Amino acid sequence: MAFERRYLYSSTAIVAAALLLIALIWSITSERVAYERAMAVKDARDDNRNIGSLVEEHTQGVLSALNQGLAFVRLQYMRDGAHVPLLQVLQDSSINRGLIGSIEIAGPDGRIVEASAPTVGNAGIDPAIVAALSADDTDAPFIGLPRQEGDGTWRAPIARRLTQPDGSFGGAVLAWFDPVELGNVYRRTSLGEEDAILILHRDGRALLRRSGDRVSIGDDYGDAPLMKAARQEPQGSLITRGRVDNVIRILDYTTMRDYPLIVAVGTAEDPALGGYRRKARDYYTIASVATIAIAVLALVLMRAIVRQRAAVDDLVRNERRFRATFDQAFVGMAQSAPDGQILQANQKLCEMLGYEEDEVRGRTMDSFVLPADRDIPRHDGRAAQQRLLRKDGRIAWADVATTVVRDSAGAVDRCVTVVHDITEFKRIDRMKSEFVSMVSHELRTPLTSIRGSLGLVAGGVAGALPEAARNLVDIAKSNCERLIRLINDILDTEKIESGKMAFEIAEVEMAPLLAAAIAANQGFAEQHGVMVVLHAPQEPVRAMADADRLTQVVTNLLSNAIKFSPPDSAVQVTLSEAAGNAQVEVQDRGPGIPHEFRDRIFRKFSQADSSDSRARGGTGLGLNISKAIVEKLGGTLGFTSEVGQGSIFHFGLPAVVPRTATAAMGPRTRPLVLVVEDDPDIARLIAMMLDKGGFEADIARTAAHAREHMAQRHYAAMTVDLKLPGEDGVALIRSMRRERPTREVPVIVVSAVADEGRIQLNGEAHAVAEWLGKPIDENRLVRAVREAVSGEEAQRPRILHVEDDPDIQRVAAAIAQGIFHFEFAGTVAEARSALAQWRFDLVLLDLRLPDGSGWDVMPAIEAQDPPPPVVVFSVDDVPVAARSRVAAVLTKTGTSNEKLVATIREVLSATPERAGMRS
Amino acid sequence: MARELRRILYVEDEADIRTVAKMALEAVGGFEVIACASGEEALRLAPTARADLLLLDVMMPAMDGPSTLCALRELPETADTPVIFMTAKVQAAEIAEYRALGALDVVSKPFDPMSVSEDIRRIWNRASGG
Repeated sequence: MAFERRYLYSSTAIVAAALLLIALIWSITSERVAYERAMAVKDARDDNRNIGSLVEEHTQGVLSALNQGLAFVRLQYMRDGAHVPLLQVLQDSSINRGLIGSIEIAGPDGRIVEASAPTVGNAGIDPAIVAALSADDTDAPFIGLPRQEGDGTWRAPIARRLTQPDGSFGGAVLAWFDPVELGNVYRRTSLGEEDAILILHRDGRALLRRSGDRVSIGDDYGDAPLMKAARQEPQGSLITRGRVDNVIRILDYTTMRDYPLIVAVGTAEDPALGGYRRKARDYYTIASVATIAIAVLALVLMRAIVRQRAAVDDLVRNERRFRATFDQAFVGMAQSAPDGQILQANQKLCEMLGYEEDEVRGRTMDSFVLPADRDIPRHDGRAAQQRLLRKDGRIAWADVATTVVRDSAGAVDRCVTVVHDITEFKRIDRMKSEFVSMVSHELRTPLTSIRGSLGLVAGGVAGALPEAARNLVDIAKSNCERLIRLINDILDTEKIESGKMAFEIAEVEMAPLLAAAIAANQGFAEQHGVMVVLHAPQEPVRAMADADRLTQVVTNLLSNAIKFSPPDSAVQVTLSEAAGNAQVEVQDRGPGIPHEFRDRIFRKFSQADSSDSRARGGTGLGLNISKAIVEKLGGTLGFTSEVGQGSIFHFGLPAVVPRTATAAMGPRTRPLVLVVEDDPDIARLIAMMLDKGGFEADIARTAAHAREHMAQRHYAAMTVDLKLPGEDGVALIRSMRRERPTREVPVIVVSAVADEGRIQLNGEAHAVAEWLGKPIDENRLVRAVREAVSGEEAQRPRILHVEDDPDIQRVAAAIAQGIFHFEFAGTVAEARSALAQWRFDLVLLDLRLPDGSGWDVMPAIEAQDPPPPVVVFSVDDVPVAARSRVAAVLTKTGTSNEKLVATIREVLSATPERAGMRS
Repeated sequence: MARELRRILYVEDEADIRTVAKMALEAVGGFEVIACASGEEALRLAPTARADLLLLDVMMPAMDGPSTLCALRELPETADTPVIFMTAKVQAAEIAEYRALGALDVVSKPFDPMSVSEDIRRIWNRASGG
């Protein structure tokens, strides 16, 4: 699959689409993931804020409680002076609710005036607090920085201003509390181990940081991102890494209104985003899977498309190639549908016909053929020469061949017709013919004078010639004859090849034709010192042929044979009839035909090239013409030859079986003889002898086979060899004589031990008709069989079958085989003649005869003494009135063979004086 | 037509063939031959020729054999005279044509001068009912 440039575009498209899809998926996924993250963050923040409120509230609560305690103490102090029962206050949980660790009251200079717990010396409170409170007269509580005690615990101060009645700073009331209290809300929230709450002083010092159970107080967050953010915005949210534990948290912070504190809640990002991360992972997984799927799909699609496009391209290419071949072919071509309608015609065909392709399509090929030529078959590769009618009315000669194209199911799919324009060829051919004719004629004219003159001079008409002159004239004359023959042969060849040789076919009697040809060549034969002998059978042999042309062939063969025969030898011409053919053989005792020449012998101008044969004066065309003539007459011409022995040239022509002769005689049933002989050659020999003698022969090799044969067929006679394998001839004969069916069959013993057998069967004289020894004397054999048969035949009823249809005659004869003896008459006249010559036991009468009706024979039948019974065997029905004249009526169509035989037998036995009798 | 064949009116345009044929027919066959070089000449000589047989070449310029025959048939002297054609053209169709014109037969060229007279006599006898 060639990856062509074109495919790049579709591939790119697919890749682009895939990438687009993938990008889409990923963008959606990213968006979703981001959304989920945002949602997760938002949720976390919402949680943070909720928790933050809680923490704030708690812190507020704690501070308020502290504040209230301070306020109570201040009030007491203001009222009562320095004797405030601080301890009492401490212990009164309804006031401080257990949050205050210790209380201190300080003067304006900061020195502790009263304290719930003993202080060290004249310690003062944190000057920072003093400074802050003396500066701020808003009565806002002041929260100071936490301080770690010696025992490790922390405490943080919350203080209120003591204001003199004149409004000046009078000192502070301080309550110390454990910041840890602020963190006690942790476990009441949903905060986890990694989360944190942070309560920071506005200046950045952590009042409390709690994460899980880990508490740290007093860290400095001054430069932390949280503080930076808080300085800008009172409330906000950020994500930051914890400086203490490095955990990334989502922080939400808020600045308290009433107190200088920032409350921040941070949830650890990881856990918070855990759900989101899982979702994100799922999304990414799906996206990845989708991406891979798309990628694979895209690849598969690309391949499929490329493959399909390639296939289509191949198809198109092939189609184009075929189309190009079709269109550009040098011969006319047409593709038509099974019904003959032309679907496509190529350029050449259209040119030949003078039509445009549109005009050709839809018509059938035959519609272009001249009506006179339409019958010529041109199917399946057989080309026919037909004339085509062009659009402009001119005729084109074409060689047309049609082939059928079948589909895979074997049904006809299309027909392809190939049309060769042979107009030019035909024209040239015609020119050639005319030229040859003309030239032949032109050549003959001067040759007439030459031959004439030479003939007359050689014939002595112009006076006697001196010997030398005589020789020269003879040379000239013989060569002139040769030239004439050559011209004749050339013209004949041309006629044959162009199909212009006309034959006058008639029934030709072969023997006289051969005799005439031989006589005509007598002089020629004498010149060569050769004798020609004709062997022809007694019976006339006839063939359908043109007598003149046949003579030409015979003359050619004769002259060749004579030419090539050595002097004092004989040329044998044999005529025979075999297998429906009239066979002629011309045999010479010449040098024979050399092996390398055998293939060429019938070709034009072929002569087994030796100066020797050239001198024999042939034209080289004789055999070529003879073969062509014989073949045109429906026969075959061939030869057998052996170098040094001679050659036999033979031809056969379909013989004519003379009807008139057989009609009278009919196919007589040849008597059937069984030859019992184990030696196959001798058996065949006997059979041949019997055949010549006019008998049919069956061969049985053993006694057992002989019995089988006899069980199936009836034999007029038997020849038996005494020496047989297994059961011998004598035993066979004896057993035959014992059985009723075979008792009467005449036996002729043909055996080497005939005499011995004779002694054996002595006394059983009836057993054997004749004893013949080996070697077999044919005449004795045939005579003996004839006698035996005629004796036997005399037993069989003689029936005259008046029937003109030879087929029915043959059938009747076959049925009658061995049972009756049939004589046939094909006409009323013949029937009358047969009745006059012979006596018959029964007449089987057909009514429809060529020269009358079967009824016309009745008078002749009834004139016999005694008149034989008549069985009508015809297609016609017999009128009731006529039925009394005949013994039985059978219709040809309604009668089986068995019924025919049975009816005849019945009729015969019904006339007792005829049954089994022979007069 | 049981007459004897003695005088032949012979028409042939080729001089050489005429010479040879006349010699063959006269010297070998013993006939008397009135030879003409053309159909025209034949028409002129026919009335006095007293010919028993017409022997006509087929291929001749101006008047060919068949045309000559037709013309001769117009003359009382040769209205019924038997005719034999002599020609090199012996296609089957042509022979049929000659026969249709009433020719006894056709002698083909080139002919054998020693046997042509015999052939003609044979044709004559056959036509006479032999």
